[in-house]
Amino acid sequence: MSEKELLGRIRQAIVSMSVSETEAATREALQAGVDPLRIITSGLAAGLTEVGDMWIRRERFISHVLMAAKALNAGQALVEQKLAGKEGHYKATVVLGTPKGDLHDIGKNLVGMMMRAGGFKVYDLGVDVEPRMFIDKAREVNADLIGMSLIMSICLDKMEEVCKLAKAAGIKAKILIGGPATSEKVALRIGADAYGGFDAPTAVHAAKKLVGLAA
Amino acid sequence: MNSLERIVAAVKLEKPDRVPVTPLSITRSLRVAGFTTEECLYNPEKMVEGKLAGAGRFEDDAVVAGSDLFVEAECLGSKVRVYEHTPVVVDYFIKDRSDFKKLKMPDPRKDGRMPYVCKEIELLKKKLDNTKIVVPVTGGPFTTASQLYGPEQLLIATFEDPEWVHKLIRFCTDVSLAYWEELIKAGAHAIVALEPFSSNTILSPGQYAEFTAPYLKEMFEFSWSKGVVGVNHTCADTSLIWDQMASVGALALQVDHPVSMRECKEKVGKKICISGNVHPIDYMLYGTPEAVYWKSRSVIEEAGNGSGFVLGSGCDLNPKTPEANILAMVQAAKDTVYNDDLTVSFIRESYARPVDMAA
Repeated sequence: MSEKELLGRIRQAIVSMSVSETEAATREALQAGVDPLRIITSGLAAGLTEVGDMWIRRERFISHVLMAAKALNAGQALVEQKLAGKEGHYKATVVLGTPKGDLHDIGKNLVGMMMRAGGFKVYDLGVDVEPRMFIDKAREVNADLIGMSLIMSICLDKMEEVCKLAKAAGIKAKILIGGPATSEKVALRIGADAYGGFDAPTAVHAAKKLVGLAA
Repeated sequence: MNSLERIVAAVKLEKPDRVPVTPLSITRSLRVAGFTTEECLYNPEKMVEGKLAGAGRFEDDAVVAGSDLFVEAECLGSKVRVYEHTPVVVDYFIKDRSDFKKLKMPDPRKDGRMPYVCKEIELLKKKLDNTKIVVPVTGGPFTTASQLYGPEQLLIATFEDPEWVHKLIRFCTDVSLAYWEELIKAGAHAIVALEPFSSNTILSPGQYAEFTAPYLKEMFEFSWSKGVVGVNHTCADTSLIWDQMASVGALALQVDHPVSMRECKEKVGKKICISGNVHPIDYMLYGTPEAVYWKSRSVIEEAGNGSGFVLGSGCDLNPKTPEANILAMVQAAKDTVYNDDLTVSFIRESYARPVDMAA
């Protein structure tokens, strides 16, 4: 099988959400000597991006994306053993989290996975994150972007606090918000730089635009 | 017509005097009495005082009993904490699928917050004397299952172990049926099943048919067998499952702001009552009263004709929603009248039209 076919098989395994097929295809590609980084970018991540595109077209739903992401993680675990500390080339760095009070993490996790697939170095602070922590982490890793996802509108104040703190601190990171409790209007109102929509692929596109990776 | 009669007319697709309205000011109502959610959750008397203060101030047509969709999961062992004035599950009971066998059927008369919600209904019914509809919110079976195992885990299990998922949802349905029986005994006019985890943002229409619809159908058929109206509330995008939502025995659907009320009316709103869908944040929290009023009017124009419509917000209001905005929404409904052919006419313009909301 050619490298192109091997990578195609990995992408297909992700699209069909099969953990075992993803592992088998990834092993085969590794044994055939395909560059581990290429397995990630042109195989695993490309497969997840394909699932994301289908999600936008409403041919797949969050449940499918989660299952595809599980397959991706299984493949990635095999590749990482071979990478042994070799860092990929990241196009931009992002700090992610849900603001203090919001414990819902599916959306944020999916955005994180798709951002990784899209070439971002992702620092995921998890859920229920104090506003100050976003700023401290962004400064520490010289982030290009802070991404926050919100389901509970009651926590909008905390999101706004992050925006205010970021401005006051003068950090370079731009702020992207998304999730059901946000909107264009919310972004304008609280001083975020962009609204990343209701779904992860839209958020990743908005992130790329903000850091100059997409038009 | 009083509020109860008005809503009943809308649900039966008959002629109400005007458009009924329920802004979903559930915990927001408590603020009218100066109460926090925390102090009311385990105190039905205070909960009732707060809800009635809201009902008195806003003059909307329904009083919602309860406050959230975690009552069932909490009863079954998931840990709930009040976080920023809203109850949320902080620890899921099921860590491993084998934990299923540890689940115990609760007694809705004694366990968790179930008896408090029942007591709230009894007190509300006494005070309101059938002038307003009293309608508790509950977690739908799929949603309760997600709050026992964690939404991400449950969604993955729908692919990896669908049989187990059915076993869990079957159990959650039995718990809900036992709870609904007590809610009905307490006097609920209608019951809402909240299914935010079943929207077609999250599940495919095929998964809805497999994991949500049959169980909800059982719930709604049970309540209707006792003469109690079932309300099917699903947040986020539901446009791919409206047909299914309308076919599970509920007599009303509540839909959220991302969907078009006009399309919903076209597709299912002529055979079932629909309610929605003013944006709870862009308009209700951040908008001006004028913008809320005119947005509400445009939603009425989209879905009011033909009856079978209740004006509302897409989802539960933020506790900080300005009172003036809730009053503006209610006013939009008060400014309508139903004609004999069931078309809606507006009888006055109570607020000036914002310049950016041209006709």
